[in-house]
Amino acid sequence: MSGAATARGALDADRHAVGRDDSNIVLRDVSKFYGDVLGVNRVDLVIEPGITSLVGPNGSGKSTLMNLLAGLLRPTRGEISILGLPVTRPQDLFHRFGYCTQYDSFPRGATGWQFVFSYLLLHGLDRGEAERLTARALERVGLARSAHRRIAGYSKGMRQRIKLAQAIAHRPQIMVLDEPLNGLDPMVRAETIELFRQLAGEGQHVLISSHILHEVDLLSDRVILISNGYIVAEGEVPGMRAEVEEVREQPLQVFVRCDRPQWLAGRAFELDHVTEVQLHDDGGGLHLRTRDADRFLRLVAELVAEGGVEVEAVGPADSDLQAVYRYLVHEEEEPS
Amino acid sequence: MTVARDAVARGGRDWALLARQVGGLVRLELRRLLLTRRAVILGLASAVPVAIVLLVGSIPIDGQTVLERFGNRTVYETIFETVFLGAILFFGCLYVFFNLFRGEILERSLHYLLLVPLRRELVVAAKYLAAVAAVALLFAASTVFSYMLIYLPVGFSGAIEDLTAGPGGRHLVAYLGVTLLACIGYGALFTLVGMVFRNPIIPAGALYVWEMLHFLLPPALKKLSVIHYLKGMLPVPLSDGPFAVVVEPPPVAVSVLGLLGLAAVVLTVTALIIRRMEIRYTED
Ligand SMILES: Nc1ncnc2c1ncn2[C@@H]1O[C@H](COP(=O)(O)OP(=O)(O)O)[C@@H](O)[C@H]1O
Ligand SMILES: [Mg+2]
Repeated sequence: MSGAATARGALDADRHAVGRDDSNIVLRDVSKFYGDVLGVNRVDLVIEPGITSLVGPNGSGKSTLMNLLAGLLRPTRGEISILGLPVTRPQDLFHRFGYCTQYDSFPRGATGWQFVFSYLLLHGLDRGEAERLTARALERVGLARSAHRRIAGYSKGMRQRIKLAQAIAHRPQIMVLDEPLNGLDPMVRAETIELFRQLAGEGQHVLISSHILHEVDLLSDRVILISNGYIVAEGEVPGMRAEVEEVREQPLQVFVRCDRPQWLAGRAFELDHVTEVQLHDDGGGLHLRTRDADRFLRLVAELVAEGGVEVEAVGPADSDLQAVYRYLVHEEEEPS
Repeated sequence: MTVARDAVARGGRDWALLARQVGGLVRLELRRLLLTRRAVILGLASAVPVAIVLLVGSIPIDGQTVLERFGNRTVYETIFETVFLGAILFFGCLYVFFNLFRGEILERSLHYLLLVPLRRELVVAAKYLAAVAAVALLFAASTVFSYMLIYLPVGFSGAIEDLTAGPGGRHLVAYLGVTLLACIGYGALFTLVGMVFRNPIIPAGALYVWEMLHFLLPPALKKLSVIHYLKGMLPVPLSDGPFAVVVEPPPVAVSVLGLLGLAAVVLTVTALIIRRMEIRYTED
């Protein structure tokens, strides 16, 4: 047997010795394919209590990863355990796990109160306890006064918050929240971030996703960067920033999938910081190298706004930390 | 710590907890079924047999109502077999049970049920039970009301006498049993169909043709239809016409156990499917 295998065995033994698997979210070599389409690939992660942010461009695999954690998707390969529990046993898992999905949908006709309360009953709580927890959850997300209105009449931000209330109402130890800050106005956003801090302060796991790095870097204990289905970095933000600053001057490769790549290539060449453009063989996009990604992406945004081109996807062409980080940092300067 | 968590912490299986969870889901589903548009449509459907019996029992043609001319038992049996069993029970069950899961997939609310601490098999069982209760309640009411109307020609005291001393009571129980078993059997089948198919037209259409033409089937294949067992339990024998392949109706016990067994098998398949199911919603 090779030395690596031995080391791996020792590592596993060590994990069990300190009980890490029983208090963490653990993914081992997890991949998910949708037919031929890659969702996430070879993810190895141990997520500890506190606030962890999963950050990556749209389509990078954040929701896929979260759905895998909740057992709504099944991994093509690999294993997942949460607090030592397999995700295939909802009867154990969901007493301790709350999930706020990205789906903006609700049981038809429900009021905010009914929505939270009725699913709490399914946890096996008696009515009194369920009422108490419903009131508390609605209070925490600031919806107590709108509780008896129908969700169908809620604003986008209120719908985000009622989903959040539903996910945390049964006081789970682990909260997985898919883009929970999306659609919130600045005031509410600040309150919601404060709520995450409180929850994490109570010793819970809060895993939140975002496609905007600066939205979450300051509130997180840890950030996981994901791009094109791969985890490209994991750790504390200051460390990442330092690593990235060193190579800031290097050109960045960007890809764009769009309906008029040739035309876009022409426009891109007018910019002096674009050094190289390559059209995709299928005629559905292009790759380019730029020393000023921010300005290029701003140009793309303008062209889209003018209706000059329809863009299907834009992202860093390389999945290394620098590329992804710089791409994500760009997004913070763009009002999304 | 909440009650639920204590139970888990103890590690034991807590039957009271489980009963509260399943009970909660049954009630949630019942409310969804009985207090929404679905209930209105079902209510209208279940009113149809009542209206038909009322018509044939109250409007005289040449001085006689249809009930009086052909005999109230034969007329009721005919209406029950053709209208109720032949259409309303089938399509009523299709409407409710097909949407049990498909409706939640289309509305993108199914994931909420898969994120509660309850085995997915029990989610299927609870939703199915609630739907059987709701549908059977409405259709049983329809059966009772429509049956009572066949006594229009003989009046109240005649009705009481037939129900208590005559065969009327036994017949009514048979009709109610068929109604309930139809909900159980068709309900299970359509729950499965709704789990697997996005569009019910082809599977339900095929099943409907199969069921309606069952009288032409050879005896061995008859045993593979739901309606064969249901019809075997009907109290008044009617002819299926000159082309029918006539067989002895199965004993009632066989029919009851057969339909319950069918429902159990179909629900087990459904449970196996939901266990492996992924929530994507995108395909819909
Ligand atoms: N149901 C699905 N069927 C096929 N491909 C999917 C499906 N859901 C997601 N994908 C693909 O998986 C990749 C990751 O998507 P997703 O996890 O939703 O990313 P994110 O949440 O980071 O925006 C994307 O390429 C997306 O197109
Ligand atoms: Mg997403």
